[in-house]
Amino acid sequence: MSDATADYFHSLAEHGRYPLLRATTGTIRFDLADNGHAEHWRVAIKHGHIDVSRGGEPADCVVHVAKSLFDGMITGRVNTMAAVLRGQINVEGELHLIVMLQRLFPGRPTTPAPATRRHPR
Amino acid sequence: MTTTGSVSTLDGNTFVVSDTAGDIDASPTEPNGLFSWDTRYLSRWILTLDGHRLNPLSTDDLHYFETRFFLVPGTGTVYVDATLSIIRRREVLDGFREELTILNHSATPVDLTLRLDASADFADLFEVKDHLKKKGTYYARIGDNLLLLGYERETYRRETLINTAASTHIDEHGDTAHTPAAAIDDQGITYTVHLGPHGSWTTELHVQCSLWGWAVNERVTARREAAHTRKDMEEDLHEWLSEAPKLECDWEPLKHTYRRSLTDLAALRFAPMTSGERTLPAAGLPWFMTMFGRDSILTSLQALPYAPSLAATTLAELGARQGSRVDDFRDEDPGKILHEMRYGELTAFEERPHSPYYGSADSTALFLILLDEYERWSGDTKLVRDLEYEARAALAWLDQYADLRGDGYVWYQTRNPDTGLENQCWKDSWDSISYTDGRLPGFPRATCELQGYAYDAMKRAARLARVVWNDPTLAERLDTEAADLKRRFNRDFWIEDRNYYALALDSDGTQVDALSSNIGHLLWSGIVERRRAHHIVEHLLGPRLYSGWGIRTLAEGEQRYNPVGYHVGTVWPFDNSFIAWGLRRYGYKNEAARVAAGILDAAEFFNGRLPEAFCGYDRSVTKYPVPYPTACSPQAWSTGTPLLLLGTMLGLQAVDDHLVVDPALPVGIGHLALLDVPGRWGHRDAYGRGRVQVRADDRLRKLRPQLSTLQTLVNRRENS
Repeated sequence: MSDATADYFHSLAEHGRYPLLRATTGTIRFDLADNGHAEHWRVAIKHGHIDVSRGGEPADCVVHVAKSLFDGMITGRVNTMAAVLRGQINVEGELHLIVMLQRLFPGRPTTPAPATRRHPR
Repeated sequence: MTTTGSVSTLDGNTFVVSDTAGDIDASPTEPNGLFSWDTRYLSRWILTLDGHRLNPLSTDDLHYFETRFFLVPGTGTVYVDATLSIIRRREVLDGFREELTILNHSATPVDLTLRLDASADFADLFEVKDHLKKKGTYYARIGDNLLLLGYERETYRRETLINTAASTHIDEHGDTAHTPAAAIDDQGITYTVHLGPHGSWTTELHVQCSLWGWAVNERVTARREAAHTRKDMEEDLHEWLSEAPKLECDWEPLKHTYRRSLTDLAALRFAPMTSGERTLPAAGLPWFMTMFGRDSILTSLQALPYAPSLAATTLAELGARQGSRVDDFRDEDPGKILHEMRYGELTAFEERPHSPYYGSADSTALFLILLDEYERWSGDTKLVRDLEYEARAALAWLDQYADLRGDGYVWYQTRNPDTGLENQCWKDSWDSISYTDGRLPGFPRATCELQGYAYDAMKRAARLARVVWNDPTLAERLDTEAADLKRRFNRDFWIEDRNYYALALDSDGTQVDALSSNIGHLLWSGIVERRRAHHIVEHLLGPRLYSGWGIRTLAEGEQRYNPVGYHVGTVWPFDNSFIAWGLRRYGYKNEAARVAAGILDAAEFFNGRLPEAFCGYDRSVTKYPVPYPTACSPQAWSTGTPLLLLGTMLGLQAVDDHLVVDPALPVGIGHLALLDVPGRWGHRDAYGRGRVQVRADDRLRKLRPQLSTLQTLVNRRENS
């Protein structure tokens, strides 16, 4: 059975370098709650380079979120900033780290495009 | 006091709007209350003495974050007992703190019941603005010296904490005694007060806004990095004012307007939730105390010679939030600079797209323009290098995503028809873009000023590519594309038989032919062919657009012209300030001075604080500028307007390593000087002198809209 969460983190690490985060350095730990137990993922960002590992060591920013909601975040169905505002995600520590990282998450899945839309030159 | 009879006290995006007695009595649609992060944390906060409301004698705005209300008992306008007075001192600081003092001026002791009614509707500002209903439930809890008012909707929770402190009685001999604690119920706080002869009684309240209801119920009332004291704020304001250039001028009201602008700009500084202490200008009170791409950029541009740090923060913060993906709900594309960020309930539940929302077609080009202008003034090439990636992404957005019809113009059409913005230019109300006969064009639309901004952005980015990014190939490509855009624009937007540029192109490429202030922005951008500039200037200062106070958003005679219509006939001070800059760019010094004079005259009527917009009535008809009914005030880019106008009157320009001064003053200003203008040159002074001797009685008669021929005298002094 494929695990969307694990797949996401693996692909995040595989790409490695992210110019969007080149001014960002810090560690984020995701505590993903799922039926009473928690899965820990650590994302270490160093000037745009991302390493991913498992484990519950301390981090600059700790994000507590239900695993099902996290799956929504990484597929664009859930907007991370909105979910933080409505209290569905608990962030401890440096909020700006998750604000920067979530820019890598996809946008809301697109609706069918109107006929006039976008003709790149 | 403002003209509307409301008093605003603010710090960042926490602010209190009350009546002149200090009371908050919000109807669902009134923007009164204690607001923080776009949410109303107090909608009722009413002080009564023995069941009666109090009458204001006077109100002092001590600082923007502190107000003092002097009150007396009475009914209506008649005093019933002038032997008591009540002083209510409020400071917005970590929520707000209020100190209540009752003075007994008589030799007779009195027993009084002082009551504060409190309630909170937790309305999202959007709900206040759009008259919407709440979906969650309210609760109240009473604790030790605490009244907690709360609101809950699923995991969303906001709470107002009202803490009471001990109260103190001081008798006529100066002896102090503690008095009984307040009685708290779920609708307010009651004090039983015994006042001895010539005694005084005082107490304090602290109201805090709980920022987020965390999933784990952790209450957060203030950010660690934002915790500051009143002393910090006083020192900060003092430092802010002392770092700005000094104004010398023989026209007193201008000095007042200048100081008011600097202070309001300080008040409107705002630290987005995740930026730590770095501040940028929020857009305006009360509706727009948040980060706006367009407003923050234009205000930073206006303030560059005065407070260059605003531009640096604006660029860094907008860059950090630049669009990174395609999201139709938020009108987001990679490389796009945001329109607006909000923190309220409707955003939290994705009923509004503001987390952040990207529905503006101009902020991306304006971002590039600010980046270049900032470097010209500051010489801060480091920031320009740091933002090279974002600047290139912005250029790519202009090239690919903005060009919805594939014809090389910037177009807009929202992909969120329910809650997105129809018009994604600065005139963002629904009816702002129209044909002369009143018809509204279809979508997508390409308004003219967007093309001007894009042109200017490319030219400026080309300069940065040459001098900072070391990429002459990019510079050459941008210069070529800009020249091509200018050529096509002058072919496709120019209306031959009317001698002005169309307001927009319709979705099929037809010229939307209304005469509007937008053509003034084209001068600022430099996209106007020089041989055509005089036509534009004639229209801008002609009777259809120029009211005597300023240039109207839409010309008289257009079908949709309405002097009290938001973007269809009112005069916007910021609009005029950029047009004045544009007039200078094309060498129309005297016309620029005339525009500056009209707006600065208007500022005098608003006690130095220009509103967002005022009505487009002719100056000869109304004699004074009529405020637009629900305009924001203070509003950032109106606050920045006098600053930019001072710059256009003095002809300030950053050229290479020099501050160039080329003054052209309106009649009525004999001399004008800005001392210690900061920039890459260190600090320098800029002087301007009008040739015409100004007599005091001329000034009283306000003889300033017409300009004499000016001969200017330039003095410069280099500081060590």
